Amino acid sequence: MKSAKLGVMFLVSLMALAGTGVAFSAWTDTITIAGQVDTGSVSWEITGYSGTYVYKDLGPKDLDDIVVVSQMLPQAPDHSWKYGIADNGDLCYLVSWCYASAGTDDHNAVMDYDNLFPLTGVGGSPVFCADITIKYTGSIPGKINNINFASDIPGDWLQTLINKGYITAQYYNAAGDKVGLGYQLHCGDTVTVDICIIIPQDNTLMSHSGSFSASLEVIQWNEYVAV
Amino acid sequence: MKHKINKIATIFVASLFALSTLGVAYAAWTDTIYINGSVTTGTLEAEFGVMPPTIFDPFGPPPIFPTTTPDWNCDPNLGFNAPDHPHVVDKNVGSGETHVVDHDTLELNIYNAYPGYYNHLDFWVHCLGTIPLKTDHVVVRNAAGAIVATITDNVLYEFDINGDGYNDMQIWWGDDFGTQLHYCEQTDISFGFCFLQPLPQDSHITIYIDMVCIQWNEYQP
Repeated sequence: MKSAKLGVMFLVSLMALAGTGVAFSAWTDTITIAGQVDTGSVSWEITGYSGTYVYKDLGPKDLDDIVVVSQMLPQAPDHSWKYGIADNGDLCYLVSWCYASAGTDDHNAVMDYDNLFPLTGVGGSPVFCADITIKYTGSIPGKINNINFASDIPGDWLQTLINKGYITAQYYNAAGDKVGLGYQLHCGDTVTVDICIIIPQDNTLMSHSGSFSASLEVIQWNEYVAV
Repeated sequence: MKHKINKIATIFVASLFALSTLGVAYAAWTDTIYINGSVTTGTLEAEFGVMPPTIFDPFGPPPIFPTTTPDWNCDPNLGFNAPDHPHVVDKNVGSGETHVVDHDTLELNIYNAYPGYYNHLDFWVHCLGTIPLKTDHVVVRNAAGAIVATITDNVLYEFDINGDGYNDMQIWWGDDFGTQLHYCEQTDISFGFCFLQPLPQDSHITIYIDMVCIQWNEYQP
């Protein structure tokens, strides 16, 4: 009972002393460190656009030359003209074309593919490709992580093409070498991304129209996981 | 003590779940570019009928003889294989009629035909698709729709038109395949035909001609 009374007095004393401040604290000295932290960034932006123009050679009728032109254009081309001159001097007729152009900002692009038909290049490679050039602007190295395609109308013919691998992305570095997912980018590096479409030989695919969305992601290099 | 550790562990796990709902705060740094694409495919389309088809001998009797519109004949047994065939004869017996059923179908009717009777059909193929095309081959079907011949060259074709097991008709295709057409262009195509001796009497002959076109870059000569 007595010890309980002493305990109560001790606690009351402690609280009273605490109210008097540092007078009863230990002597101290403090060194202050002012820290500044800048975080890096993982970012890229679209800096260029190009497309593919498929002409038919209108030279002698027995010539079946298909002239494929891919060129960098600062803006969407004027398609009011249909004819051009091939390298061999023959008159050419523009049959199909696709091109990329600027979207709402440097993270958005618009790609138009018009009058496509079944056509592939050497070894079945795609011909109809719209292209964007992306400049890596982040201070932290990044790697191309993934691209996801989705038709704007779920389950339509475009979604079928996506599911069957007829709509693909191809990546080329500044030297023009083909690269792939996981390709590493440092600040200032560029990569050209071709979004390519193959129309298979299927009569039911004539006279179709549709739209799709694609999202292309870059990730900090040390978090990339190959799939 | 053990209960206390379990309680702390439970709180820790619960916190993890709660933090995971905060989303990307704990994911890797990323940046994303978005692409909106629109796609239209072209059209490969040909049709009959911009210029009406014509037939060389639309003139039936009467009169059979004398006539100013005589028939032409092939050899009843050899058809075009005989020398100097076809040739004009002195009677007007058979006749032909043709019309476009729809944009894709041409109907040919032959009246009062007989072994050796010759006629000639001329028609136009018009390209109305956005993809250039080439004429590729022709399918000949009988009245029942059965395929009796597939024509791929401008040579002589002999076939059984009525399904009785005997060849009773010849077609000599008059134009090369591989003719190239762009949008709104058309080409004139014709062929001659004659009937052979196994042709049954009192029968009405109807044939359908399917002109198959192919996108220009897929044509195989």
